[in-house]
Amino acid sequence: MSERILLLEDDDDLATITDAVVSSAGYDVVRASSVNDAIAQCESVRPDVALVDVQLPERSGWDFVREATRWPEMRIVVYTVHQDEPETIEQAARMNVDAVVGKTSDPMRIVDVIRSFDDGPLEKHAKHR
Amino acid sequence: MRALKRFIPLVVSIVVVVAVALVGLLQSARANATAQQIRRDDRVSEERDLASLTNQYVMFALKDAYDFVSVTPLSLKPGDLADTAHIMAYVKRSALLNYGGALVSLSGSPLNAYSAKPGLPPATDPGYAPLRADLLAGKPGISSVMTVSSVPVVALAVPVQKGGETAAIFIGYFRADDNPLETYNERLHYGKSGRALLIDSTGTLVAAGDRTRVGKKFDDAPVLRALAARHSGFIEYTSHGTRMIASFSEDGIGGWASITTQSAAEFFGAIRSGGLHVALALAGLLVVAAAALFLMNHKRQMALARAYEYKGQLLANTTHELKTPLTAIRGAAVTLGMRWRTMSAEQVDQFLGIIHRRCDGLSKLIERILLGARLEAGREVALNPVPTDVLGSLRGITSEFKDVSPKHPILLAAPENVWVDADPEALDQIFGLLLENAIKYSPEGGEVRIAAIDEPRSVSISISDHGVGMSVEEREHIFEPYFRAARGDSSRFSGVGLGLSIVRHLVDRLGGTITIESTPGDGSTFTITLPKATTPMAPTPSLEGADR
Repeated sequence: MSERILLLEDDDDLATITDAVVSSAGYDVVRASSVNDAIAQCESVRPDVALVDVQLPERSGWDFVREATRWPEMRIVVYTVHQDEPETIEQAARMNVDAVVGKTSDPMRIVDVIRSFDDGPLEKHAKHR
Repeated sequence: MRALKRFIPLVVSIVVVVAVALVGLLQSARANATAQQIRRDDRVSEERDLASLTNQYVMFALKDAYDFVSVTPLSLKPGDLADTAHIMAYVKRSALLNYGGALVSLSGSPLNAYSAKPGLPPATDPGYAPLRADLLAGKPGISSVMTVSSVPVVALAVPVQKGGETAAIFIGYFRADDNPLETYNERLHYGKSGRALLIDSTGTLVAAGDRTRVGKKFDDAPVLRALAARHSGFIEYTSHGTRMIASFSEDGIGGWASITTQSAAEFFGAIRSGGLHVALALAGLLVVAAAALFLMNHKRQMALARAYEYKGQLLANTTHELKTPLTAIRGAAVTLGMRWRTMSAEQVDQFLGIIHRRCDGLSKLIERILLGARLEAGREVALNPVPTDVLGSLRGITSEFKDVSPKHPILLAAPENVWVDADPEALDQIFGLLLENAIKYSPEGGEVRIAAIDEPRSVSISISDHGVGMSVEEREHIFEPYFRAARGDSSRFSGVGLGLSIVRHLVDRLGGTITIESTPGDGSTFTITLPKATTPMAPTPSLEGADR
């Protein structure tokens, strides 16, 4: 059962909204606004799922995805406004991301995706949008 | 299709240059052809003159012989010594027929003769054939070149009258290789390769300009063929691998013809090579022009390609900048819509606050994009300058940013009562954009300092950060609209890249200047100098001289 969710998002408002939605679904949300911050959180709290914004100041969200192979049990959800761009999808596939969710879609979508991880065996490359 | 269209200006330019070059070449070729034709015609005309001179020379020689036989009392008896003496005296004094003379009966048997060594050609020499034919036709006779022990000899025959009747034939001889005709031909100079020639009806050289060739065959077959076809003319042909020209003209006597040969290169000389030079120059011009056009077009295509790339990047940045606040607004609105019943009052307030703030931000961003587009299109923005308090404006902006970016300490040090003639909104916008810029490029917690210095006629306001700084090259372009897009750092720093270009435009409009001091990795300082207001204002009461 996924319990602890890492939210890597530099936009405070978007983090607040996503945090509220995911928390209210019963998950424990830890927030990070930079890649370094997120790595530190992974080391200390071992999240089950990481929601990763791609466009971040300094290091990109993809850097985090690369580093996250250190925690193979952690599911990675890329959470971006560029969900429809072929580059994003190709990159996500290449980096074995579990899901890509559009930020512009219904905020509840993210909860559905997190829940889907509990439903059965892990299906890598599944795209949830 | 668009790729093809890109090449239209290049193709059109090349076609124009080619057309101009072709017209030039055609004109040059036409002028050249005319010049060559004139030169040919001149040479043929000269050849006809030479032929006519030869004709006259032979006529003179014949007349000389006529004069001799008509005034000399010849007995015409075979072997008559008096006749021999007459002939010898004539040959010795004649300038023309000075090789020998002979009297022949009408039946062809020799009567008397005298000649220089090595003697006369025998009666069986085929060279006499044309002479006989002429005589039978009732004309004076002219032989072909005959050779006696390698001496080339030509014979001229006239009838000898006795009692009103033709009683015998007098034949006068001259050495073809040593007579005024040959000397004259030798003196004719046509460059280094030009030769004036005279041939008989068998193609043997009567005169050659080079006396060693006299008596030998002229073997330029194309010239002989041309001569067989027409009385006079000009041909160009190849002889022993050399391109030659020949002018030719029949002499109208004895089947002889005058010919002048010369190498074609020497004959046409500058006319033809001039044409070649013009063609080469035009071809060179064409190549240079085509290369220049290609390069210009290539440069333009590259600039266009960069502009496209830049535009794409710009659009991507702008889209991202618009999408982010929209996402927050939408997320907050959707979440509120679904969950407001279960949310706490604080949470509802927080979400409404997000919507409100992000809507404001979005609206500002759109205004900035429109302003940037306006300025880029060269359209002015309406400004309403009034005396404005610098400190007041700086305080307002600073406090606004302290709320938005609490992580960055903003230190303000500015004197009171410094007024500038400026549109207050424009001034706020300038300070706001510079402050936003300083914060954006500062590390988290990085301090931003604002300092104003009151000078007699102006006020300088500097905004310094400890951010990433910029290189000299970046400094040169930093005020260009969308420069950030070109710099490619849009993923690290948000924004559309219009702020500083707007700042510079507004500062210019306010009659001020803006300068930058910056070191990569060590922050930047933007300093604006604005002229002070001409109308002094009453001091405004203030509670604090400087904020922090």
